[in-house]
Amino acid sequence: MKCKCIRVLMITLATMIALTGSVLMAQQDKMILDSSKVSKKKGRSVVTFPHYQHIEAGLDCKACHHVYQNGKNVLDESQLEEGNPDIRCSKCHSAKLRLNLQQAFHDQCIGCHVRYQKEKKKTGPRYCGECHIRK
Amino acid sequence: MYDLIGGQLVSTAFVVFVSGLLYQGSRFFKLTKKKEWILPPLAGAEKRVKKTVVQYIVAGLTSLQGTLWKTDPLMMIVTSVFHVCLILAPIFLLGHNMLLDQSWGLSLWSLPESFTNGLTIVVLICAAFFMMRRLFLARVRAITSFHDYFVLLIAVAPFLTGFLAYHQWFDYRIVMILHILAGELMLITIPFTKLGHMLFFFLYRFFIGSEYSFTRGNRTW
Ligand code: HEC
Ligand code: HEC
Ligand code: HEC
Ligand code: HEC
Ligand code: HEM
Ligand code: HEM
Repeated sequence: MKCKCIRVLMITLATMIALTGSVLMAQQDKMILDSSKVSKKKGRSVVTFPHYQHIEAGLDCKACHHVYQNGKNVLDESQLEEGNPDIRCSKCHSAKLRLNLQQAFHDQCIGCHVRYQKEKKKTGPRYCGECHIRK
Repeated sequence: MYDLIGGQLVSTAFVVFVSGLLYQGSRFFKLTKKKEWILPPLAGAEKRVKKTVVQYIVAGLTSLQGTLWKTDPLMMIVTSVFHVCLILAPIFLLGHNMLLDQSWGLSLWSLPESFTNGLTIVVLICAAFFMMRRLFLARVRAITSFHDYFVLLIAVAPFLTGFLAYHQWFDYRIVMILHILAGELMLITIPFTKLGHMLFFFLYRFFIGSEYSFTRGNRTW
């Protein structure tokens, strides 16, 4: 009886650790951003984006993810799920929008990093080679 | 570190560059305002003869005989190629225009990066040629001083470091800092060294040219 209890407990614990662990792993996974299919390949390497590190740094999801209506960001955060094609930047930022995909990425990433640098806060890279790392 | 070098110092360098050129330009006219002599206008030069197109071209080509083209054609070619690439590469570079766009919201169109990288290589090769000339040709070495090497180095440094940064050889962050410093040094020294020929070339060329043609010996500068 006592034995069984401990076994159940152990298995639950192990599963829980494995589960949370795998969630953490998935989030810590660096994201590969590649727009070369959309913007005719211009020869810059793909960008490894530490998504999780940005969330860790205390950034709001809505600082990057958006759905604009009348100039307001009305994104429903429950939409932010892995595999949802509607949240990909390429869903909206095509040649038709004011900012094409490459500009959307550059303006968002570098824009924020430069802003943070001006405010003397810990920030990310600004010069080409720190994001487009050659193999 | 990046902050200062990549921010304030860049603006400072551009301000010194532009105002330095304006200052040197105005000094040029101030120093030459006093006319030392007045020549009577040359009596009506020879009558203008109407030339055919072919004659124009022949005359143009003949006049090349009095230039560097006759005395040193290789130098003429190398220096022309050098200057074209030197001007085009940084102005139409994607990396520069993106930074410009980010900070001032304006940018020129850009050439493909592999092409500007090619232009950079050409600049470096031409610069190596100038260097060899100064080191090994006796008649050039005779008139070469430390200043000439120094200026050549200032002109080449942004290209060398830019090239290293593009290929991400050595430590990228350090190379980038060196590149920005080299670029700023070049912008700041242009008005105050012989690199000022970027401005004075045109002043000399056109004022002296007009002195001996349109204004018939009258100095207008
Ligand atoms: C610093 C900007 C930034 C922040 C902050 C941010 N994201 Fe993202 N996120 C991105 C980018 C860029 C992508 C890649 C989109 C693409 O590939 O088109 C992305 C992709 C995603 C994806 C899709 C992953 C996939 O593989 O399908 C999910 C889910 C996601 N983010 C959720 C979130 C959540 C939840 C938050 C808030 C806790 C958040 N993000 C905060 C920039 C950010
Ligand atoms: C649902 C469609 C949609 C998605 C998905 C989307 N955007 Fe946008 N984005 C827009 C619209 C619409 C604008 C406003 C365009 C304009 O001003 O002309 C915009 C504006 C921007 C701007 C300009 C500054 C601002 O925030 O207003 C940036 C930068 C940007 N998007 C980057 C991104 C990035 C990076 C992603 C992926 C993480 C992304 N966008 C995903 C629709 C979208
Ligand atoms: C809203 C602001 C913001 C946006 C948008 C943003 N970043 Fe960052 N980024 C940061 C901050 C803050 C840090 C520093 C985080 C830290 O080190 O704790 C950072 C750090 C980084 C780093 C360095 C990580 C390291 O290991 O030091 C990389 C790479 C990076 N960002 C890439 C990107 C890319 C690519 C994008 C666009 C898809 C992007 N960032 C968009 C704020 C932002
Ligand atoms: C903060 C990170 C970051 C910095 C800094 C950055 N980029 Fe990017 N760049 C991106 C992201 C993200 C994309 C879109 C994903 C991709 O295609 O790699 C991109 C895409 C590109 C593309 C199109 C990709 C292709 O091959 O079609 C080019 C070209 C480019 N960048 C050039 C530059 C240049 C030049 C600089 C230096 C001024 C620079 N980038 C600086 C993040 C960055
Ligand atoms: C003053 C501030 C300057 C800044 C901030 C700056 C910034 C940059 C950046 C970010 C790159 C791209 C590096 C990469 O691809 O990773 C670059 C490349 C380059 N820069 Fe500059 N630059 C400056 C001044 C200059 C000047 C004055 C010149 C020359 C006149 C110059 C010539 C070049 C060249 C030729 C390259 C490209 C080399 C190649 O593609 O092979 N730069 N610069
Ligand atoms: C904008 C128009 C420019 C014109 C018309 C021009 C013209 C000339 C001429 C006529 C020469 C002498 C011929 C020679 O020795 O090669 C020369 C040399 C030189 N120029 Fe320029 N130039 C210009 C811009 C620049 C700029 C912006 C730089 C770099 C900052 C530069 C760097 C040099 C160097 C380094 C030499 C000497 C090469 C040597 O060591 O012999 N020039 N230029």
